[in-house]
Amino acid sequence: MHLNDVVLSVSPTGLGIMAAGWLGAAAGVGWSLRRLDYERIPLVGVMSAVFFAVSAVQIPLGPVAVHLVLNGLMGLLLGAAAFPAIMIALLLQWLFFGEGGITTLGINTVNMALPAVVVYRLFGGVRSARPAAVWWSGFGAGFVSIVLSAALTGLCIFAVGRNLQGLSVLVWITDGGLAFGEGLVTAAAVAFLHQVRPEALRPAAAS
Amino acid sequence: MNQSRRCVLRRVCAARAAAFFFACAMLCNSTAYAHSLYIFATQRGDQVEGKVYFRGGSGAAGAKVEVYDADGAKRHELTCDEEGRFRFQPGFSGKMRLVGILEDGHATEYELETMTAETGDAASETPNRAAPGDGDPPNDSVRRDPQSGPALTAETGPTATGESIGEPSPLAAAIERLRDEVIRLREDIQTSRSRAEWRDVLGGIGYIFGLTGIAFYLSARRRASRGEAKNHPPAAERARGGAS
Repeated sequence: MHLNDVVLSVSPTGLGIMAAGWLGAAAGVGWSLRRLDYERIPLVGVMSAVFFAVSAVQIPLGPVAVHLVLNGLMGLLLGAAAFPAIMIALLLQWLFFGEGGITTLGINTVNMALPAVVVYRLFGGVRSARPAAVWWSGFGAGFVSIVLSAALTGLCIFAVGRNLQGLSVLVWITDGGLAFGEGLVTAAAVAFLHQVRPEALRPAAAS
Repeated sequence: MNQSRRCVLRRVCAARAAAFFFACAMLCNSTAYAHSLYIFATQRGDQVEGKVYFRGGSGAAGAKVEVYDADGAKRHELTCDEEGRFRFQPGFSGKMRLVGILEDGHATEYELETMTAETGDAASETPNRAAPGDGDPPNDSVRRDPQSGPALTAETGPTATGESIGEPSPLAAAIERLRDEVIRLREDIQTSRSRAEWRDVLGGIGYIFGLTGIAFYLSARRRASRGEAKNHPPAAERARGGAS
């Protein structure tokens, strides 16, 4: 899901996507920072660190390796503040691991943070106290955020007209697997948080 | 009651959104490979071969490789085998840029400077010419001795017979082995360089916490300049949550 510099820099459409990505990311970051509450700053930092660190843990899935993204969990916990958290983590992932790119930082931020915000609107502020409902909202958040991010990334690649169809079946198996895994992890995290610290699941910043 | 209805509506809405985006994503052949990609290539004779691989070293099966020349024109497009390896005949010399791409948008590039075909031939043929005989043991030992006359003549000019062209001399074989070794070494270096370093992870977390500290500081200054208007942030938060 990290678009690389060379993928978009080849066509005018790609440059347009890049520019739009930067605009979107700047708007998201600016808007959410303006509304960010003083006492939520540490949580934003911690979630940003989690997002960054979890990308170093490679999980073999068939012939390829994937890592968790956790943007669903970030959406549930941070709301719109997922924008700055994800942008900083992506910048550091590029600096340290060479994942993604610097010109594509904006569009990558949008591709991952926008689903986080959407997921927050869909599942956020867990209102039901039933454990099953809490679990399913966590699962839905993790699953939907990955599918959304993958769809956005796919749209970008599709728009620049790169014809890359060698891996479709494999892609669908790993994609679905990752979304499912994210759902399970997010559900577990949300269920746990709901028990020990229910107020963490109500980020005021995105309301 | 009202809440549970809203809850159900939310679920339905979420399910529809998920289905919609699944369909969207399926149309676009997208993927969520969340890992980084690397490429390595080297010249061997008149061919260029290399590998596209993930962090940690496992090959990227089926990855596309695009070859651009120094002017940026695309010259070749290849698909890797199951081990992520590729091999092609460039048909041109000089600088080339190899771009490895997975269909999910992960990409990587590598610059390679190839020698001209003549230089490559000369390099591979020099040892052949230096070999004086057709594998005669005495001749071989003479050639290894730097003091002997025949060896010197053999090195100064192509006086030796050309029968050894068909069969590589021990020297050529040794150079070939050495080259294999160097290629493997360079692959190893690339792989270990690209492996996730835990030091980097810790460093990155440190940066994030540092930035969090800065954000805290700026936010605290903003609050102070507002004259402690929001003395009870939890209450303010609750009020805002209720208003929405």
